Amino acid sequence: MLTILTKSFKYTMMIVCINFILINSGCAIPEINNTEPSHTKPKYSLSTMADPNETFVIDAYDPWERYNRSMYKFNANFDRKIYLPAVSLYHSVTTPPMREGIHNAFNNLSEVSILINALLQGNFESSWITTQRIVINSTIGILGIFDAANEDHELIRQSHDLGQTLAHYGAKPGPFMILPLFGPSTLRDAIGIAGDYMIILNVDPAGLYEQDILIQYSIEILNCIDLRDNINLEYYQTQSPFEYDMVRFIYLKARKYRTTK
Amino acid sequence: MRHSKNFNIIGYTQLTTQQFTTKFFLHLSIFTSLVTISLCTTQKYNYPYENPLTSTIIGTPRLYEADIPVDIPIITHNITIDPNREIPELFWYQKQLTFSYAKQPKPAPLIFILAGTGSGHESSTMNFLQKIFFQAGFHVINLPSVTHPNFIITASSHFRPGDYQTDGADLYRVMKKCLDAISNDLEITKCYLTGYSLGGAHAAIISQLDHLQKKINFKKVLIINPPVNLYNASLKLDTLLDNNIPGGENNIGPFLNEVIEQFSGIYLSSNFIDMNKDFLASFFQKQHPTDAEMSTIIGLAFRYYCSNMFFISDALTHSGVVIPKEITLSSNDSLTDYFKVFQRLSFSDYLQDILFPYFKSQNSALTLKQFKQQSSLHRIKDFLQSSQHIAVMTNADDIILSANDLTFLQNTFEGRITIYPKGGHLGNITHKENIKNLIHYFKDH
Repeated sequence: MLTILTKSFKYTMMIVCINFILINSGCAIPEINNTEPSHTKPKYSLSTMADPNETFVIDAYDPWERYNRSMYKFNANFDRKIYLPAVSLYHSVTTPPMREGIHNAFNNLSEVSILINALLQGNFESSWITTQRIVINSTIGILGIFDAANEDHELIRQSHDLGQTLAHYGAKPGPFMILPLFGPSTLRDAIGIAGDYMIILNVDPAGLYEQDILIQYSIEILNCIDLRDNINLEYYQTQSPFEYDMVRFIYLKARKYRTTK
Repeated sequence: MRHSKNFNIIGYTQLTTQQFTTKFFLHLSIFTSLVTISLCTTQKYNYPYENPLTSTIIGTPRLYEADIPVDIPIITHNITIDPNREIPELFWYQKQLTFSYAKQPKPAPLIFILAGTGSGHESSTMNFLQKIFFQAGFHVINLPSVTHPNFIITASSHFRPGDYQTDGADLYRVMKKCLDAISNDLEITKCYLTGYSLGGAHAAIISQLDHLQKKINFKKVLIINPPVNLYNASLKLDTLLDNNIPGGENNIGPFLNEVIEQFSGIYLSSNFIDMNKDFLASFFQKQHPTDAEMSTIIGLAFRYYCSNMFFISDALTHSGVVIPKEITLSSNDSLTDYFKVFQRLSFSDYLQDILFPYFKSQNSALTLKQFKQQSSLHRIKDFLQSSQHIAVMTNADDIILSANDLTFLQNTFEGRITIYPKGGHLGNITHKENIKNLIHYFKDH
């Protein structure tokens, strides 16, 4: 247990450290210059075009926007230079059935946290479906390599995480955040991600996290590559200068939908 | 009965044998040259949507679509168009112009495909066409539109797309550079050109440039669903949004909020992962949107492309339209307030505040009215009329064309135009019959 907690702590600290390093490095938050000289008035501005009391759907609670935007840039660079080449390498050494099996196995491991969160949210239907999925996929599905529950029994994977559980008990999303490597989130969801990870480490049904440290890191790296492989989006894919605004809008909208439905 | 009446009208009954023969063959040649039009307008064209707005949004359902290979070897290539260009840090992710190509393993003809407004080299339509042409045995180069952010930032000569002639010249320069960059990798037998929507109009302009400069020497050109006059077509699309805002233009803010809320709500509650044509078809089946709502969706999509272009031009040229002239934005700066303002500005505003002042500075005698007529295929009518290697495909109900535009295209491309009875704007571009004709045009010797 202590080992597991230590690992979780290390993980959380890693996120905090990366944030800290970035904030204090080259892609740090530039200081907000409050003494900017007055500018020539543009032809159109928000004050002349919109009612002062008007609300905009694109607005969000984003007090750390400058930091978030720099993190968005960092993630995009990481994605291009490290993450995507790693995924490409992964594709060159695996076949599609192998990748599907690996993806299913990681999904099966994370079902534990889905089950706990579904229970915590009082959603017994989802809990029952997830329990069946774990049992079927871990046995008939050979340690989760095949998603037999979905294919043979039409038991679809449920979606419950700790961020949703916290929302269920009244936690507000808090400020919008771009997490290093993870991408868009909110303060509540960031805590949720760390918590969910802790659940997986605590339960560890396959005993993966009791292996040699090198094996543990290899599994984590493979997990990350699999995660990225299954996200069919790239940073700046839209090429729009307003991509950050749209990503923020869609993320917050999707989370609001998931936490209130 | 009807035929004999027609013959009387054109005066066959009073002719001598020789006159009859001459006139008969003259009319026969006109008739055969118009056969493509009559074939498409009189025979049953198996496209499911009657409403051009529905066609424009949904496109062609999979059942009616041409078959394409799942995967083809596509190479993405980046080139520097202007080595001396300094790209602001705000656009740090746009270092070079990106295009893609698919190459045949043996000598083959090459076709360039030019994208429509705001689209990149890998948009869904571009991807589809690339696969279709590759499957038919062509090398294929896909280029982004001159209005796409990547092109404006890395390749546009003055960062203000929207003038047919200068945009065409920019594209032609880029095409030559692309060709030079990969010519060692391809064995090219001859070059063809096609483009859709705004890319179609550019294909026409480039044909003329190529005719004069002969740098590439296109053997055949096909223009698909082109706008005849850029300003008029844009005005039609802007009007689709402006005319359908309840309470008028001043109510655009709350209206946009409502539309985006509704649309995203429906999307999130659906089982779709991508906002693709299946999602849209399902959305239409469930919601049965009205014409006004569909017009709004099309108008909003156009407004989005416009906002991107307008913002980038304003930022790069320091025109001071929305971004104060002295400000150089960085990638950490919030752009949200600018986004809100640009969402309220139309293509007409862009033309008036960004484009026209620049061209006026080059020619002080130029009036706004003259400038609006400048980006038009009318200007190269004589060239288009006499160029037998250029053909057009469009739709009778294309929402960016007026009746006059359609007549202009019919008269200018007599015998070289195919007009499908329905399909809206580009809704039928992936349809089996369209693709069959498209390939046939380039394959036919």
